[in-house]
Amino acid sequence: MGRKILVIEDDADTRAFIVKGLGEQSHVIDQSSDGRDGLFMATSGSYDLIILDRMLPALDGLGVLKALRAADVATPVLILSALASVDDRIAGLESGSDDYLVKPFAFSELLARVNALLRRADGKVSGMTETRLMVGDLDIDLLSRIVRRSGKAIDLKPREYALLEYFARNAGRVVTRTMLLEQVWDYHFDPATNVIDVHVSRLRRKLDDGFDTTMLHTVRGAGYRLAV
Amino acid sequence: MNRLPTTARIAILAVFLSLAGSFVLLGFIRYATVAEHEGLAEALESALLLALGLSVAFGIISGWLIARFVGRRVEDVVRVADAVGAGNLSHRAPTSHGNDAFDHLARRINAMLDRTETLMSELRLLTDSLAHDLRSPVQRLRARIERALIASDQAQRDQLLSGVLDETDALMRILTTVLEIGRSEALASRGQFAPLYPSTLIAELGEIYEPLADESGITLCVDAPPFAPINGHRQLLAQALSNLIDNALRYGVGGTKITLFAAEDSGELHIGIADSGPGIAMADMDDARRRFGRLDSARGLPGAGLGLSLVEAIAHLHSGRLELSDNMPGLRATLVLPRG
Repeated sequence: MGRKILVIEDDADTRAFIVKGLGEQSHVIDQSSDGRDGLFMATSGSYDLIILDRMLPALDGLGVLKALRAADVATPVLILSALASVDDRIAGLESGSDDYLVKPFAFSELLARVNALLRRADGKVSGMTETRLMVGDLDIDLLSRIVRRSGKAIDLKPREYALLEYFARNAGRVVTRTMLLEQVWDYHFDPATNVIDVHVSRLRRKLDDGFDTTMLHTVRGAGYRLAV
Repeated sequence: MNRLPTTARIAILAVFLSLAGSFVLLGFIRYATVAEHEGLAEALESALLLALGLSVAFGIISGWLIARFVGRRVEDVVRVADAVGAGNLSHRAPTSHGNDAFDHLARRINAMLDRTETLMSELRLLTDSLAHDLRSPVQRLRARIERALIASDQAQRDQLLSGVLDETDALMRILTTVLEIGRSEALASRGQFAPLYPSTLIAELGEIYEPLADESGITLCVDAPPFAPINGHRQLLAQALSNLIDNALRYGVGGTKITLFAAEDSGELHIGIADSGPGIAMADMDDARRRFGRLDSARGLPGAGLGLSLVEAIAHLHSGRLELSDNMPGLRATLVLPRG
């Protein structure tokens, strides 16, 4: 289903790249090239998500974000930034944004994060505290932390459980390696090795071995997806 | 008064003070002596006037001497500031073995200049090596794009273009690392310091890397008893440990065991990684630390030779250091961090 997304980005090429890519996902995109106009649009229109560049003419990204939050606009915001140091990223996240993506980025990474934010916002709107996640024949009891597939209990280590829960909350959508390291482990470093892949393949072995269908899929060049 | 140089003001102040002292004494004698001792009073007065004259003379002389002394010591510092301002960072203020205010000042200024000089030479080295070492990846990038442009076969073009993507990602990783090194060396990230438990950090890193080590047939052990928290940058320390583990996995070929350890020794915290691979020869230890420095044995492997530089910069950020030693066999890389 198409959603309304506002893209505030001053670099025309990057903006076109984002608008085209998200448009292909049948989202409705509005765009703005400077902070002041962007802020005006963000406060007056009702958007499901705002993609905000950090360095903008007229009013910088963090300023826009601050003004938005001060005006009680709770729309999820994803910050795009060329400021890439760990501290910049932490400052960006602490300023009230919901996610932070460093330029240059792969479109698959942006798309995965956009989808995760839209999904999370849906969960907030429904206002219900989930006690159970179901994906196909997979059943996760969030209270007792018992995982079953087709009724058969699957024994997971705590971290494997956290990994699976994150996958299940984003079921059907691509989740990237960086997202996993950030969300499941709360680390923002960039490992040189395929350290995350091995965790996922261990989880996959426990989840899929002995069943006819694979649930945890590898998406080439992007990440993973949990789906029926 | 404000137009006069400081030294002259000090001299005038000294003369005024000695004059004021003499007048106070004179007044006291006048007040204390009564009429019947007129002769005594007169003698006292003339003696005092003489003393007054002498004290003014001495005041002027000592004032001049003090002013000259102070002026000379200040001049020393001014000369250094001028030389440094003109771009010669190697100048230092002279220090004596004394312990007066000027020695303190000179030592502080020299310490500041030492730090500035280190930062400047680091920076110069970094920009120089960046300019050099980015050439080969950019060259590879260019070659790939050129070949893709003339490739007639779609599959071949796709393959070349995906190589271009990989090469760009690698370039970005180099740039991010360089940025992080620069920021750490400039101590810019101290605002993010928070108390953290070193053993928890080690255990978490161990947990992240255990499956990967296991796949490579290496046993990953964690030897980190609980310690009091230290003040540090969790993300950057994790990055440093991750780099060390990556190195151990990549270059520690043939080894069977990697140990992540934390230990405390006379107020210093030692955290690091020991492997049982081939290690680094003593003669090569310095080369291994050098920015963009890669040992001949590592030339064929991917990487830009920035890993250890970043670890070292993160150690410096925490007022600590990186120690490389022989694990007999293997390499032992330790971050030595002072407490407090």
